[in-house]
Amino acid sequence: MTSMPAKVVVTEDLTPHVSMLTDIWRRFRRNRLALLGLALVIVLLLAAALAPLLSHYDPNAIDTSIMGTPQTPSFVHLFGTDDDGRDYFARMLFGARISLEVGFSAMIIAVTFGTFYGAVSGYFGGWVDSVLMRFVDMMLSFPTFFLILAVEALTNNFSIVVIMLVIGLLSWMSVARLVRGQILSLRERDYISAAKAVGAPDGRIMWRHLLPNALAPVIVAGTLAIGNNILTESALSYLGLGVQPPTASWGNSLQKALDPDVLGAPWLTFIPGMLIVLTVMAFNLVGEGLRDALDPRSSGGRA
Amino acid sequence: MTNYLIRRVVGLVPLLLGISLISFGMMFMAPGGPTSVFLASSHPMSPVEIANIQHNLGLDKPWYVQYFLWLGNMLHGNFGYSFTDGRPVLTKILEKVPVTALLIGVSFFFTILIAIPTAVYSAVHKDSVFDYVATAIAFIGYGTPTFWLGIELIQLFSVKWNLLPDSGLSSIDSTGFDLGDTVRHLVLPVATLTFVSLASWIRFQRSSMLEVLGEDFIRTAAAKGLSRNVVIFKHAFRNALLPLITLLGLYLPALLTGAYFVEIVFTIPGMGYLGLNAIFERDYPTVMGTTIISAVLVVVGNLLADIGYAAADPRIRYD
Repeated sequence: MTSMPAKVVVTEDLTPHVSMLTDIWRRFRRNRLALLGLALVIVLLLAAALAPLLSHYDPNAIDTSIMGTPQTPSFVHLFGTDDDGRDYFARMLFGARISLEVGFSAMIIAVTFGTFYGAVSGYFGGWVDSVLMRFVDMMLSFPTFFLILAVEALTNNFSIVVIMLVIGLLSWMSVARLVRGQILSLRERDYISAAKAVGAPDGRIMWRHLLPNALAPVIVAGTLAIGNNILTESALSYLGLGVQPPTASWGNSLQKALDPDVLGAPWLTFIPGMLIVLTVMAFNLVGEGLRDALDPRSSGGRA
Repeated sequence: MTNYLIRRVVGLVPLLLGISLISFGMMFMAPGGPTSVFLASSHPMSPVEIANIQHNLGLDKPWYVQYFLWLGNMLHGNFGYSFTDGRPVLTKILEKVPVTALLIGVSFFFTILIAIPTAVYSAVHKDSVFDYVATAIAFIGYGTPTFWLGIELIQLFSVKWNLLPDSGLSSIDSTGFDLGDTVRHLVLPVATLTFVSLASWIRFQRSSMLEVLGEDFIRTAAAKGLSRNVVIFKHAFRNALLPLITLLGLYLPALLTGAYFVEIVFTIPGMGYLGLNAIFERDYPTVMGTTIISAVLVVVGNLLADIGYAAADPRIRYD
C-alpha cells in the first residue's frame, strides 16, 4: 500500500465513488414523488435553520391585548395568533426546529446502536446471534409507543435530549434486524473468505468489507425513521410527556385543541397537524425514492 | 404440523420471560423506586393496601427474589393491585379488553374492505391516475398523527355540525345497551383508526400483488389464453393475499398503539385509556400490567399469524 503512488490511489478511489453518487441521483431524479419529498425536506430545513430571520416575532412573547381571542391569519400574523396572543407562524417555525432536531438525533442514535448491534449479531452468529436476536424479538413485542410513553413518564424528565434518547434507544430494533440480515448474507461471500484467509482482523472485515456493503438499506430505514420519530415526538408532546410549553412544538400546540378558546380557531389545530403530515410524508417519499435509487436491481425492472 | 405447533409454543416461553424481565426492569429503574410513588401519592393508602403492595412486591428482598415473586404471582393471575383504587390490576385490564378489541376489530374489518380492492386495482392499473391517487393517500395516511385526525373529526362532526358524539361508547342518558347509540359513538373513532391503518395495507398489498403479477406462472396463465379476470383473481390475487397474514402479525403492535390513541382522544374506556391514565397517575402495577398484557397479545397474535401462514401456504414446510 505505502509503495503505491498517491495519484493512482486517488483516481482509483474517487472515480467510481463520484459516478456511483451520480448514478444514484440519476435514478432518484426519475421519481417525481421523491423529488417533491426532497424539495419539501429542503424547504423545512431552511425554514428551521432561518427561523429567527423569517419571523421577527418572538415565539414565546405573549401579547396580552389579544390574549384569549386568537387572531385569524393575516399579513401581520401569517398563521394568526394562539389563545395566549403569541404569533403562531413564529411558533410553528421554532416547532419545526424541535421536530427536525428530535427526528434526526433519535434516528442517529437508533441507527448507530442498531447497526452495531445487528453487525455483531450477524458477524459472530451462533449463540451470540441467538441471544441478541431474542432480545430484539422481546423489544419488538411491546407496542413501542406505549413503552416510550411509560419510560418518559418514569424518568419524569422532558428535556429535548432525554426525549431524543428515549425515542432513539427504543426504536433501534428494526435497524438491528436489517443489518444482521445483510451481514449474514454478505459474510458467506467469497471476498470475505478471501479477507479472512489473508488474516484481516474481525474489526477490519466488519468496517471495511461488511458494513459499507450493508449501508443502502440502513440509509433508507434511517430516512423513514426520521418521519416516525417526528410522529412520536408530536404524540408525546401532545400528551404532555414530551416538549413542555412554553417551548413551541407542533405536538404540544395541539394540547388545547378541544378547549373552547381554541375550538373557535380551527387553524390553530389544522396548521400544526398539516405540518406534521407534510413533514413525515416528505421524509417517507425521500426514503422510498432512495430505496429504489440505491437498489440497482430495481431500476432494470418493469417500470 | 403438530410438531411445528409444539416447537413454536415452547419457543414462546423464553420470549415471555424476557418480556416480563424488561417490564420488571422498567419498574425497578423508576427514579426513587416503586415505594416513592405511593409514599408521595396524594391518595392516602389504607394500611391494608400498603401491606398488600409490599407483600406483592416483596420490597425488602433483593431484586431477583422480587422478580421471581412477582413472576410467580403473575402466573397465578395476580398482577398486583392498583395504586389508585386498590383493585386487582388483572380485573381492571380484562374488563377493558373487549372495548379495545371491538375498536380494533371493526376498524380492521373496514381497513381490509377498503385497502385490498384499492391495492389490487392500483397494482393491475399501475401508473394510472387511480394508482397515483391511492399512493398519495397512502403517503398522507403514513404521516397523519392518529390523535390529530381524531381531533379534526371531532371539530368538524361533533362541534361544528353536531352530527356525531365526540366521546365514550354510549350516551350519558342511555339506559342499557342501545345498538344505534353505540354505532353512532363508534363512527368517528373507527374512521380515524381505519384511515391511519389504510396506508400500510394499501402499500403492502399493492407491492405484493405487483410482485406476483411479475411471476412466470402469471405469464403462463395469460399465455395459455385464460381471461384477464381469471388470471388476476384466481392466479394472482390469491397468491398476493398470503403475505398479508404475516403483515397482520407485524402490524398488531401498531394497531394496538393506534387504538390506544383513539381511545385517548375519544375518551373511550379501553386498555389504552386505562394505561395512559395509569402512567399519569404513576400507578405502576397497572402500567406494568397493561404493558405485559399488550406484549402478550402481540406475541400470541404473531404466533397465530405464523401458524395461519404455514396453514395457508403449502410451500411452507414445518420443519
